[in-house]
Amino acid sequence: MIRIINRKLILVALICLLAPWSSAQNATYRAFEDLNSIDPPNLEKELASFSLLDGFEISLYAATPMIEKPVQMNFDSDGRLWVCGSHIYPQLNVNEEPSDQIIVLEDTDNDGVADKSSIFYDKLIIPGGVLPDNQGGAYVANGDKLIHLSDTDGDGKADESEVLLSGFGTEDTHHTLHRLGWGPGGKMYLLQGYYISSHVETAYGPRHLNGGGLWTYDVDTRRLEIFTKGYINPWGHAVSYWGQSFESDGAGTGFGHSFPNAVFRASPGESQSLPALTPKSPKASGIEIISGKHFPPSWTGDIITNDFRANITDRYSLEKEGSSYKAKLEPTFLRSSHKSFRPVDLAMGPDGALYIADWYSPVIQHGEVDFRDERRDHQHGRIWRITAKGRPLLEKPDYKGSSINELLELLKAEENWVRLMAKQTLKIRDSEYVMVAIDQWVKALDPQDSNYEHHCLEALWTVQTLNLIDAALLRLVMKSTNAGARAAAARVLYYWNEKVPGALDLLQEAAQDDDASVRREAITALSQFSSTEAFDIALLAYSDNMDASYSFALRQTCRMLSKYWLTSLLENAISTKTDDSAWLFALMSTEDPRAAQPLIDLFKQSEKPDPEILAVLGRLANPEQLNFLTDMVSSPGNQHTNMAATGLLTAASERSVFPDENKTEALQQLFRSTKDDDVAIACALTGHWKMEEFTDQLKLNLRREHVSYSVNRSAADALAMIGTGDIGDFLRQTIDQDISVNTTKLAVYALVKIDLEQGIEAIANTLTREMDEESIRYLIRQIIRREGAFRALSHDLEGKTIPPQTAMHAIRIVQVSDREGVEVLMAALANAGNVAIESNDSNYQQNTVALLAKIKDGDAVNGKTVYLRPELACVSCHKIKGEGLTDIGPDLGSIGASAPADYIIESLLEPSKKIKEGYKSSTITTVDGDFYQGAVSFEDANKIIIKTAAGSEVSIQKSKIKSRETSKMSMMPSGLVETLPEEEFIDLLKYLTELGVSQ
Amino acid sequence: MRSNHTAKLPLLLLVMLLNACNSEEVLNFKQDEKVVFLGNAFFENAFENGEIETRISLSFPDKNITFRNIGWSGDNVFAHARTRARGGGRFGDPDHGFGILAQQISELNPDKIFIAYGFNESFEDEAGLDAYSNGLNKLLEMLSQHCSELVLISTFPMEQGFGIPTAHITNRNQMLEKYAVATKEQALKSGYRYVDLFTAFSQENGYTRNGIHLSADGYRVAAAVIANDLELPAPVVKIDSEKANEIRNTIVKKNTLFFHRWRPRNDAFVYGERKDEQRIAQEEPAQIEPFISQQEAAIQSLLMEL
Repeated sequence: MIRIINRKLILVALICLLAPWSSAQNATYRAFEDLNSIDPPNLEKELASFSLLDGFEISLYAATPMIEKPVQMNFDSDGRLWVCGSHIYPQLNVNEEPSDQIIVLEDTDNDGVADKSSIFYDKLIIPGGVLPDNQGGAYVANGDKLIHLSDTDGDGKADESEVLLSGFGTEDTHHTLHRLGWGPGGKMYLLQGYYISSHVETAYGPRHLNGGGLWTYDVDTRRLEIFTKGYINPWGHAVSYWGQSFESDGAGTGFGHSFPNAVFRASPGESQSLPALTPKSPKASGIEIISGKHFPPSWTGDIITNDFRANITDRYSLEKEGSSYKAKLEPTFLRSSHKSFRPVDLAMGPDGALYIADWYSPVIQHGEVDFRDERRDHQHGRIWRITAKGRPLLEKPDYKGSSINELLELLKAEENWVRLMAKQTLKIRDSEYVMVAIDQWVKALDPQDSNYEHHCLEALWTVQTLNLIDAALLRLVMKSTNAGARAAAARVLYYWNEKVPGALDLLQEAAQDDDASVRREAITALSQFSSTEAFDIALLAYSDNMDASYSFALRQTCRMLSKYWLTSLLENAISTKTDDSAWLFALMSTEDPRAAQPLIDLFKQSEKPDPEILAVLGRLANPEQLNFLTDMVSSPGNQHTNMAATGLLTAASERSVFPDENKTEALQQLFRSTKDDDVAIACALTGHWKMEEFTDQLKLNLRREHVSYSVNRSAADALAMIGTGDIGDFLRQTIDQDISVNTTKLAVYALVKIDLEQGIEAIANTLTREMDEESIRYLIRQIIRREGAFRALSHDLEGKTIPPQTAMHAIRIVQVSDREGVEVLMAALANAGNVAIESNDSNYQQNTVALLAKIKDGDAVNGKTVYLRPELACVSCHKIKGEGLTDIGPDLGSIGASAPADYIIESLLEPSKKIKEGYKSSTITTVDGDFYQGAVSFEDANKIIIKTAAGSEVSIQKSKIKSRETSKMSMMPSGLVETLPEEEFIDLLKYLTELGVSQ
Repeated sequence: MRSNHTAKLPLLLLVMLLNACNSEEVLNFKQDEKVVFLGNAFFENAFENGEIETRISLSFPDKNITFRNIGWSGDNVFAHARTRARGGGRFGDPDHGFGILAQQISELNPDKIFIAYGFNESFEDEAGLDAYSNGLNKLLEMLSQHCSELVLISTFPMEQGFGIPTAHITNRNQMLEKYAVATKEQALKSGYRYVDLFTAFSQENGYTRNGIHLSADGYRVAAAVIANDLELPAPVVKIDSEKANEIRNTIVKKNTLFFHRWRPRNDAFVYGERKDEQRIAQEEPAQIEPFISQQEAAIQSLLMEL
């Protein structure tokens, strides 16, 4: 009799070997100490844990009790540091009063250490951002609201709270509204993360944003707009010298280059997105751009961001590339060996130093570790300060005491924050005087000055900050000799748009600029106009050689303006030119069914038509328009047959839209093809179109050998879709004849769909044969979601004998399914295979504890070889710092730094217990009885695309979904590490727990 | 401290009295009735000052009326804003919002529902009027299956100022009025009561905090208009009395607790997509219930003392 050893049993055995039971209690205590090495908070130790790049020094600026655990910080024009923080995170207790704080820090004696701390406000719940208004008050992101706090009596405490905006989503406290900052043109920027659905009412209409995004808010006019969409944990926003935006993402894409209308990954309902600049980077929290005289000149313009999981602050240099940038990781700037050092925000200070907010906690995020886990730190926080050795610190300008002209002179400063603060101060002055002064100041500038172009741009931004318009100044900057200035001026036109006389003429020039970034900005600005003319100008910027950001910007503008140009085109008010790839680009960008006919016309008129049009028609065309594709497929020898057939299949499978002519002729031609791909499509179309006259072709192709699997599979699918006549009999015969494993599996697959009862009977019969594990898994998967199937299979197994190996595999597969009838089926399988099931109630906690104690003796080098073993299959789903085959599972590049060891053990032993954010799988059952499991990679109103554990993507029409649920089962199979000897398991754990941990 | 606008009240009330009341009879409350406030930010924001709830309670201090405010910012008659990430969807389809609302109404089982929509829909301009009327009709049909007493509340005009361009406001107000009229037509057609805030708030400015949302003072006026249009009995104590303040503060406390119960921070972990990542969190919002009951009991005893 063969014993099935449950993975928990192995652990019980392990524990027996590892830890004497008598000292189990002590082991528990020690192990938890080992687990996180939670040193009691000690500032000196933390300071000593830093290793910093040569030439720099780090010191403490402030720590608890002077501050709350810091979330975001911003300096005001008086040089005071405003910090919002939270001891409540991750969740308010039941019936607890809000008590999170805004704290104002001051370094009154300029020694680089805060010596004064005052609580400005203390009635908040996990505030995500604070931005001083430089008039004694501050804007605060407080969950579902953006509020403004003012101190009307000047006692340094807020006495009035005004709600500016409400309706931001509250789904997830580490995604709620956060990170407030000013842009160069005076707008406020605000972020929200992935799980948030916001519905904000404004005077300009409701604003809805699902998922992550960067908002802009105009305090003066109360206008709220979406700037960019996407990213899972957008966690920082910084603006460069020339006004370009960069967003950091705390979900493993580092940071990217942002501009209006841009969409990054994971934005719900968006079919396309832009990549980040550092797609393989770890999670990045906070972002700052170095400027000013204190840091070495070679650092100016570099990006600083934090890898909070690995306790690191990184530096990247940027280089212009096309219409965007490329980023290069420079040698590590700062790293700490202290596990609670969690750099979450960065800010250049008035003295030119770089300030780092340290959340300070061994536990990060709140998914993996329980909200109420005692290892969370709720008290401590630090702000560190980095200075450059031997370089003088800067004097803070007296903004408030400066005249308008003195403030304008500050616009020449090298320090980004000085120019920003000068503009914010000018905003408070009488705008009439400021406008006159700007005019004079610009006229008096020396055009020979190497920074002349930038000074003019700052003047333009000042006007924008005042919420006024100066068309003459705009024209001046649009004609600048510097591309950065021209691009920034085009961005100003994005906001001023039709209010500037002759705006389209300016943009026509910019759309044909020599510099790609200027053209990209012009394209984006045009999206804000309401005319066909704006679209025509945008198309001038089309080229066959566009980089990703550029082509995305053009796509967005084409889409946003389609209500003008596409409508005109359909009314024949304008006509496309043949062979015009720009028009083709515009039409394909729309993803609008109304574009189908113009696309057909374009194809017909063109001498060398782009076959991609045919694929696009599959997504857009109506039945009549699809006839264009069947015509093409049915004409012998047409060079576009395959593309046209693909289009027809897309229409059928994704939208259930079928042509109404020439279907028979088209199929006849396709079945005649010598190409497997054509035949596979022919089979699929036969099924979707329910063309019973081709059933024999399907039968033939199901059993055909020496063809691609896709042909057999397609034939099986189609037979199931038709399902009438003698198809059931044919499938049963095929299974009985046992032609090949593949044919049998496919026949079972089809039979289950046609007749569940017969299908289950066939599975019971098939299980009696010798079979590999994968095939067993395949057979069981066919019925795993079918109601009553487990009981039926148990019944059919009665009296049968199946190979013990088969029984073992099948039991293991069934066991984790969590379906009704599991136990009965397991018993039936055990009986038929003559094996026994050992149940157990092992003490899981003790297992973990014992394992934890052993990790320190593990060998990480050997652990890596274990990790790489093909039979463990780690590498087939996970990447490490971007290196690997697929990204079905999370990147493990910094798993050791981000997750406690007990979490890692648990994930290996019981993958389904905690499933990483974004890697949850959905199970979908369709009305046709199909069952899919995988991660949702795209979803809109009509379809959903899921990525299966095998790495393939399946598109499912929403109208065909019968039920859908979030799977409690991980896509990671359980039992992967079951067969590992203890030592190797410990080595693997050692390797994983060290990944991403600073050495 | 309760603002200089109070002086304007008589004028507004005069206007209200001149406005012929359209309801055929007085809105009556029986013992232990449950009232639901449903709508966009008009009601969501109302939970923070409790004015409307206080005003109604003061007319019926011994009736033990309970209130549940389920207003949702950005919502429309299709309940689009109420869709949630549930049952495997990362974000629900907007169309699922209606079903979620229907379910919630069925669970709340109210005796009266006050409905305030139209602001968000009005940005669809003239072209959206039919869709609004049809949507409202469908909403009323659904609600009427659970509750026979429905009260429709109109939109009110935007106020000039707040940095919002004047021409824009003028434009919007023409549209808001059309949506108010459409609301009224639906009410008349279906025989439900209608409260006309539009006419009342057209008389003077100073009742919003941002041009589009009422201030606490504005809510006090709105409450007076509602009471007038529905011919509620006079409040048993003055609305600005200390007693009334005490009741109002307790109501706000109860409302805040209910908000945390209903729309908790970490909704995704408690009710939604990340539900199985946490064990403790899921239990917590339910633990708020007794505290809500406690506040409700406090409100009742304060009212009974009057």
